[in-house]
Amino acid sequence: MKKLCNIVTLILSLILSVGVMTFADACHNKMMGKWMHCHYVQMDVFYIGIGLIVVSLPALFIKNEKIALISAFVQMALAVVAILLPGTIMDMCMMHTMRCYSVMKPFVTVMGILVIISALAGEIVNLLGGKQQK
Amino acid sequence: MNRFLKGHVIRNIIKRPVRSVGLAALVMLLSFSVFSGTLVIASMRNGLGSLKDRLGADIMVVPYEATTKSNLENIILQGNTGYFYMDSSYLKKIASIEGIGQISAQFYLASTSSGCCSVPVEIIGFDPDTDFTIQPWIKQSYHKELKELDVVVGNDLNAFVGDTLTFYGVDVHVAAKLDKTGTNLDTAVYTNESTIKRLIQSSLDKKMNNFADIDPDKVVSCIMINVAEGYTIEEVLNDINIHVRKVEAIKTKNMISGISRSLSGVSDVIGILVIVVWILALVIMIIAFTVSSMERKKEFAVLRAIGASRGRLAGLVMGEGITISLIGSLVGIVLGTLLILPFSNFLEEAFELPFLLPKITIILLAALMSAVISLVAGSLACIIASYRISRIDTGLILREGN
Amino acid sequence: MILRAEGISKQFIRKSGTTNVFIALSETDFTLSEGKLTVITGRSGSGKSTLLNILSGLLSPTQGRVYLGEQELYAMSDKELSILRNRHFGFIPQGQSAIFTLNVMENVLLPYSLYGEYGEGREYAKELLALMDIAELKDAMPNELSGGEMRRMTIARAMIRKPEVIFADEPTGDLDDENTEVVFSLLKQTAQKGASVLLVTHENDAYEYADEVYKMSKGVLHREK
Repeated sequence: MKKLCNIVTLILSLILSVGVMTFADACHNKMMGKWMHCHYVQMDVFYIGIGLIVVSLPALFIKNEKIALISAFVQMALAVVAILLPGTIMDMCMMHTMRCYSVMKPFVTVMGILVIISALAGEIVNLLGGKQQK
Repeated sequence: MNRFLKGHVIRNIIKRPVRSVGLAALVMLLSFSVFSGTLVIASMRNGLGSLKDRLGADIMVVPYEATTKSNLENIILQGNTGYFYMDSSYLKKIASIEGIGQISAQFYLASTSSGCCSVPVEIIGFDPDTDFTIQPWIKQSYHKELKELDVVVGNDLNAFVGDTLTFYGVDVHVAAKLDKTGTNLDTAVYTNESTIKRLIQSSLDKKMNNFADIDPDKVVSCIMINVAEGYTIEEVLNDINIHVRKVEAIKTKNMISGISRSLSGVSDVIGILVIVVWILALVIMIIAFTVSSMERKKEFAVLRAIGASRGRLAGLVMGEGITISLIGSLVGIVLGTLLILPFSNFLEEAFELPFLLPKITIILLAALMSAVISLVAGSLACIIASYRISRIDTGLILREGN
Repeated sequence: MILRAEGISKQFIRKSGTTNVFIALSETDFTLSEGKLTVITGRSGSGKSTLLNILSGLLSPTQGRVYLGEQELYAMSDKELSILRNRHFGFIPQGQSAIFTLNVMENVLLPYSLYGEYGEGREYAKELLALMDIAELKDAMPNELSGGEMRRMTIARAMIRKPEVIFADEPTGDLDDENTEVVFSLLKQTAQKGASVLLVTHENDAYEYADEVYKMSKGVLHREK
C-alpha cells in the first residue's frame, strides 16, 4: 500500500513535469523572438517536478522509515511551492484568460494537490501499518 | 447494519481490491459526469445571465465599418480588441430620435503590448453623467466616484487595487477590481470619458494609433441606448437605421440570442453525453455486481447453511454495493471539483461562451445532489444481485463441490 | 430435541427430458435419534442429499412436515427458521466451505458473529480447535490449510454453538483414509455427548461408527441397521 502511494507520487510527478513542458505549457510561441516570463515560471515548475521525481526514488528502493518520512515531507513541501509558483511567487501574464493562467496554473494546482494527497496517504498508511505490527 | 455485516462488508471490499476499485470507478464515472455536467451547464447559464446584466442596453449603435470588420458579436461580446470611432455629432442626432430613454456614448482604445507577457488590453471609457451600463457594475465593488486617471480593472486582469498601470506613457491608478462576469468583459479596463480621451490623445501624440486623423474630443466609439417606455425596440432601431447614415444600430438581444443558441447546443450535447455515460455505466454495474456476486455463490451458500437468513445475505450484497457506491460517488465529486473549478477560465476559452461558476452554495448543492443520485443508482444496480443471492439454492451449490 | 419428519416428499420440475416431474424423494417418515450417529448411504442422485437438505431446513418439501421438538420448521418465516438453524443445527457441507476472507478462529466463530454475538464462544472455540488438533492454526488463513485441516475447522464451526442436531453431507468426500477416520470418530464423539448426528456418505467405513444405518435408493429410504 505504501509502495503503491510511492509509485502514484512518482507517476504524478512525471505527469506534472511532462505536462508543463507539453500539453499544459505556459505559452505556445515566443513573442517577438523572446520567451515571455511565464515561460520561466513553467521551467521552474518543471525543475520542481524533476525534484519531486528524484525525491520519490530513494523511498522506492530503500526500506527505511526515516527516509520515507523525510522524502514524503520534502515531496509535500515541493508540491506546495509548485502550487504557489505560478502567479503567487512569480508573476505571470496580464490576463487570467491566457494559457499560463487558464491551463498551466490550474494544472499545476491539481497535480500539486494530488501529490500532497498521495504523499500524505502513503505516510498515514505507513504510520498505521507500523502501529499494527507493534 | 450490525457489526458482522459491517466487518464482513469492509473485509470483502478490501480483500477484493480489483473488483472493488472497478465498481467504485463506475460509480465515480456516474457522479463525476453528472456533477461536472451540471456545473458546466450552470456556469454557462450563469455566464449568460451576467452577460445580459452587463450589456444592459437595448440597442448599440456602432460605425458601419465596425459591422464589416469582423464578427460584430466577437468585438462586442468576446472583447476581441478592435476599435473604431465615429463622429460625436451622431450622438446628438440619435438622441433627438423619438423613443430614446437613456443614451450614453462609450469610447474604445486598445493598449499596445507593453513589455513582455502582456497583450493589448481593451480600454473602455464611459461618460459618468449618462452611463447606465458600466457604472452599476462598478458600484458592486466600488462606491466612490472615479477620479481623473482612475481606472477599474476586470476580474481576469493581473492588476490589483493600488497598482499603477501605464498606457501610452500615461500612468493610471487602479481604483477597483470588478466582480467576475465570466465573459471577456473581465479582461478590459474601464475608465471615465476624460481619462480615456487623455489616453487616446497620448496614443496619437506617440503615433501609436492607426487613426491618425481623429480628434479625441470629437469622436465616440459606440452609443448605448435604452428605449423609453411606450416604444418598442424595433421601432427605435428602424428609426435609427433609416434616418442616420453610416452607422448601424444593433439589437443587443439578438447578439445574446446567438449565444443562447450555442449555449443550448452545448448543454444538449453535454446532457446526451451524461445520459449515455449513465446508461452504459449502469448496465455494466448491474452485470458486474451480479456476476461478481454469483461467483461467490459458494460463500453465500455457506453463510446460509450456518444460519444466515435471506435478508442477511441480501444485506451483505447491498452493504457492499452501497459502501462501494458511496466511495465512488465521493471520489467522482472530488475529481469533478478538481477538473472544473480550477479550469473555469480554460473552459470559457474552449467553449467560446460566457462561463461564470455559480455561487459556492449552489456548487455544494450540485455536489450533494450528484453524490446522492449516484449513490442511489449504484445501490439500485446491486438490488438484482442481492435478490438473486438471497434466492440461491443452498443445497445444490454446496453439493457442486469446489 | 428430536428432529422428526412426517410424510415428506420432494418433486422437482425438470426443464428437459421426457417426464416433467422428477421424484427426488418419495413420501418418507423419519426420526433422528438423540445421541446417536445416523448414517444414510446411497448412490449419487439417490435423494439422500435432498432428504438432508429438507431435514436441515434448507429445502422446503413438496409435501409433509418437519418438526424440531414441537416447532414446525417450514411453518416459520425465513428469518425465524434461519435463527433456529443457527442456534440448533450444525452443518458440515460437502467440499470446502471456508470463508476465505476470515482466519480459522473467525471462521469457527462465524455462527456467533453472524448474529452479532461477538466475544461469545471464544474459549469453547479454542477447546474445539485443540480437540480437532489444529489449535496452533487459529490465526492462519484458510488457503494455508490442508484439506483435512480445513474440514476439521468446518466441523469445529458446526459444533461451536453446541447444536442439538449436526448434519454432515459427504464430509469426507475429498479426504484421504486417515483424515476420513478422524472425521468419523469426531462425529461419533459428538453423538456420544448427546447430539443427534446425521451423516450422509457413500463411504462404507462409516458403518463401523454408525448407530443407525439407512440406505437411500431412487428416493426411497430403507433402514439397514
